[in-house]
Amino acid sequence: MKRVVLLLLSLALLLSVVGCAGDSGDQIDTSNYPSKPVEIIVAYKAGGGTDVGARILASEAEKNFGQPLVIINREGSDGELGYTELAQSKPDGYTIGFINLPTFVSLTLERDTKYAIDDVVPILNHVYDAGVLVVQASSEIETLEDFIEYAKANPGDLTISNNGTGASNHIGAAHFEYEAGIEVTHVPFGGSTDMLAALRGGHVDATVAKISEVAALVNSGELRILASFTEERLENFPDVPTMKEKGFDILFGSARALVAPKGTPQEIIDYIHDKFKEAIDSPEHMEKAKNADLPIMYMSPEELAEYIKNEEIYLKEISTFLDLSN
Amino acid sequence: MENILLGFANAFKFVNLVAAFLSVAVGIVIGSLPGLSAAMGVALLIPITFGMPAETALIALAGVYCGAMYGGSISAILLHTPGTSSAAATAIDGYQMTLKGQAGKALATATIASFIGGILSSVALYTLSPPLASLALKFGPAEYFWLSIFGLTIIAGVSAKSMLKGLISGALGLVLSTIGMDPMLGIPRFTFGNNGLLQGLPFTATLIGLFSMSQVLLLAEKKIKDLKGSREVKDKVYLSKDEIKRITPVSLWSAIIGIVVGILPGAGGTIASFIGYNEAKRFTKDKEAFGTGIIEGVAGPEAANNAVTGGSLIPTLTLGIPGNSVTAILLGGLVIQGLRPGPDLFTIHGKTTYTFFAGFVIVNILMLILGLFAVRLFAKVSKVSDAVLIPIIFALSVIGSYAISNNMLDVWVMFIFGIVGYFVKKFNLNSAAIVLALILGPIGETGLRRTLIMHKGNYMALFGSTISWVLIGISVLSLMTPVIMSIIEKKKSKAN
Repeated sequence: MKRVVLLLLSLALLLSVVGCAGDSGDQIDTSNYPSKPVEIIVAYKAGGGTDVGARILASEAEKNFGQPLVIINREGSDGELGYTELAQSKPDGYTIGFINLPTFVSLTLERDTKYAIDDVVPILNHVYDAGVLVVQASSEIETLEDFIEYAKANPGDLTISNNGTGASNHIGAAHFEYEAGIEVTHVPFGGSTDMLAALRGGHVDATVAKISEVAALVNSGELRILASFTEERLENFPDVPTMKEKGFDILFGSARALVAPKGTPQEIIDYIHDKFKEAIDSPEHMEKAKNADLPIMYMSPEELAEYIKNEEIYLKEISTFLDLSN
Repeated sequence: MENILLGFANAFKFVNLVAAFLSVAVGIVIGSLPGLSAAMGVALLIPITFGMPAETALIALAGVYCGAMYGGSISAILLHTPGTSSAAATAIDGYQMTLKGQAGKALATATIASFIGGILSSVALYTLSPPLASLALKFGPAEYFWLSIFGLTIIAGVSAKSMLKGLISGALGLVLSTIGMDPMLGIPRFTFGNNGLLQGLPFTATLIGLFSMSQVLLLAEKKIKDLKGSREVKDKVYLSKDEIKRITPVSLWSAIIGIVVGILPGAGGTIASFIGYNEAKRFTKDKEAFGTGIIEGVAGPEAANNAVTGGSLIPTLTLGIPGNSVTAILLGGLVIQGLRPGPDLFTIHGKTTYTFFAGFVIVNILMLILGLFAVRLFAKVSKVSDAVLIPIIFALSVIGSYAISNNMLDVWVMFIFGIVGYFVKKFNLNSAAIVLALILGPIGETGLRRTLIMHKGNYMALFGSTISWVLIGISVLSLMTPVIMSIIEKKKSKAN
C-alpha cells in the first residue's frame, strides 16, 4: 500500500515538474524561425493588467505564429527582475517580453538597475493607457477648477493616492501639482488596486489613475474624472476636458510594448512584428481588448524607439524640478 | 443567486472535479500521516497550483485543507496518534472504539461528522463573507493598522502555552517582514544588495521551509520506526439510522462552535475540537460513557475541527487577515492568482469566488464519499514508513520552491528557513506566530505611515473612526483571552 502514497505523491511531483520545464536555445538560426515555442516574459503578476494585455495579444498572435507563445510571469522589484532577465536573454528570437513605460525607463533613473534601456530593441507598442485625475462622484469637487481652488485655499489638505512612491501615477500627480502651483499630499499605496480602494472608501480625496483602471467605475457612477492627461479628449469620455485645454501642458500615461533582447536578428524582429501587428488589427483582438478596457495604440518600431527616448528625456527633465521623495 | 448557481456550474467542470477529488485524497493522506500537517500540505501544493486557472487552484487548496483536517482522525482512531494536532481530541474515544473492535464505526462517525461540520461551514462562507467584504472599503489606513494590531495580539492566543515564546516568535516574524523595499519610500532594507529580495522574503518558499523542510529534518534525526500499534478495521464502515440520529445534534452544535472558532483569528482546529469534545459531553446524557469509546465522543471534535475550515476562510477572503497558518498560506495562493481580498472578490472576481465556494461544497461531499468507501485504503497509508516519506517531502520542497518563479534564490531561502524552522520547533517557538507576523507586519507599517502622511503627522487620526475603536476593543479582549481562559480552567478544576 506504500504504492498508493508513492503514486499520489509522485503524481504531484510530476505536475510540478511539468510546470517548470524550460528549454535552452541552440545556435541563432533565422532560416527556419520559429522552430520551437517562443517565451514571452511579463515582468508582472499573472492576472495583473500587464499580464492580461499580454495574454490577450499572445493568444491572438499564436493563431498564425507557427509555434506556441508561452507567457512567463517574472514579477518582482517593480518589474526589474523580469526586465533584467529579458535583457540578459539569448537574442535568438525565442525570448521576447513586454515592458511598461515609463516604469522601464524610470527604474534606471531611480536605482542602479542590472539592465540598461538600450539592452532591448523595440518591436511594437500594444497598449497606451492614458492618465486621468479622478474623485468620488459624490465629491464636492466638480471640476478641475474646484480642485485647484480648494487646494490653493487649503494647502496640503487634499490627499491624492498613487500606486507607489516614484511610480507612474505619482509622477503624473506631482507634475500636475507643480504646473498648477498647488500643494497636495501624496499618499503611496502598494499598487493600483489599493490606491483605488482608498479613493472608493473615501480615505483620500483624489487619485491619479489610468483610464482602464477606472473606466468601469466611472461608468457605474461611482467615480468622476476631472481631467485627462492627454493631447486630445478621450474617445469614450468626450465631456472630460484635457489638462492641456485647462492650460497645463502635461501628457502622461503608460504604454505597454513588446521588445526583444538587443542583438536579435532583424529578420526575426520583422517576423515577430508582422505577426503581432496582424494580431493587433484582428477584430477578435479588438473585441477582447475592448472587453478588458485595454486602450490599444499601435506604434511601429521606429515610433516606439522615439517614444522611449522622449520618455527618458521627460523623466530626466522633471526630476530636476519635482521632488518625488514624497 | 445567479452567481451562486454559476459557481456550481463552473465547479462541476471536469478539471475542477478532478482537482477536487485528487486534492481531497492527497489531503486525507497528508492528514493521516502523523507529523505531516495541513499547513505543510497546502504550502507544498501552492507551487503546483501556480499554473492552474484561479478557481481550480483554489479548489485544490481547499481540498487539501479539508482533507487533511479530516484525515487526522484516521490515525487518531487507529493508532491513537493524531495525524494532525486538531484530531487529538478524537483519539480519546476513537481509539477506545478501535480496541472494542468498532474501528469501522468510529471511522464512519468521524467521516459523517466531518462532513456535517464542513457543509455547515460552507453555508457560513456563503452568507457571512459578502457583507463582511463590502465592509472592507470602509477600512482605511488607520483601520488596517488596528486590524494588524488585532492580528498580532492573536499571537498571544496562538501560543497559549508560553506567551513569552509566542511573543519572541512574533517579533522574529516582524523583523523578517521588514526585509525588502520600504513600502512607502521605495528604499531597500536588509536586502544586502540582492535585488531578488527587494520584494521581501519570497513568501511561499519561506513557508515551505518553515513547515515542510523543517519537518524533514525533525523526522530524519529520529530513529526510523515502524508503527506496529496499528489495528485493522474489522467491522463495516457503517452507521445505522439510529446512530446517525444520535450524532446529528452533537455534530450540528459542534459545527457551529467550529465555525465561530474558525472566524476568530488565532484559535484553530485544535482548540475547536477540544471545545467540541466537551460540548458533546455536555450534550449527552450518558456522561460516564465518555472516554470508553462512544460515537458522540468522535463526532463532537470531528464536526468542530472541520467546521473551522470554512469559518477560517471568511476573514481571510474578506479582510486579508488569516486566522491560522493554513489560511495564511492559502492567502499567499490567492494573491498569486491575482485575487485580492476585499469587495472585488464578490463583484469583479465574483465568478472565481463563487466557483471556489461551490468547489468547497463539492470537496466536502467528495470527502464524505472517499471517507465512507476508501477509508481502509487510507488506513493502510497512515502506516507508511518515514524512510519513504522523508525523501519525498524533501524532493517536493526543493522542486516546489524552485517552481514558484524558476529561481534558485527561492530554494536557498527555503533551505535557510528549513533550518530556522527546525530550531523554532526545538526551542518550542511557534512557526504559526512567525508567519502571522510576517504577513501582518507590512499591513501595520503601511497603515500607520499612511495615516500619518494623510493627517500631517497627527496621531489622533488613528482614533478617528468607530471601526478603529471596535478593533482596539477586540485587540484588548484578545490579549486578555489567555488570562481569562486560565482563570476559567482553574475554577473548573477546583469544581471538579
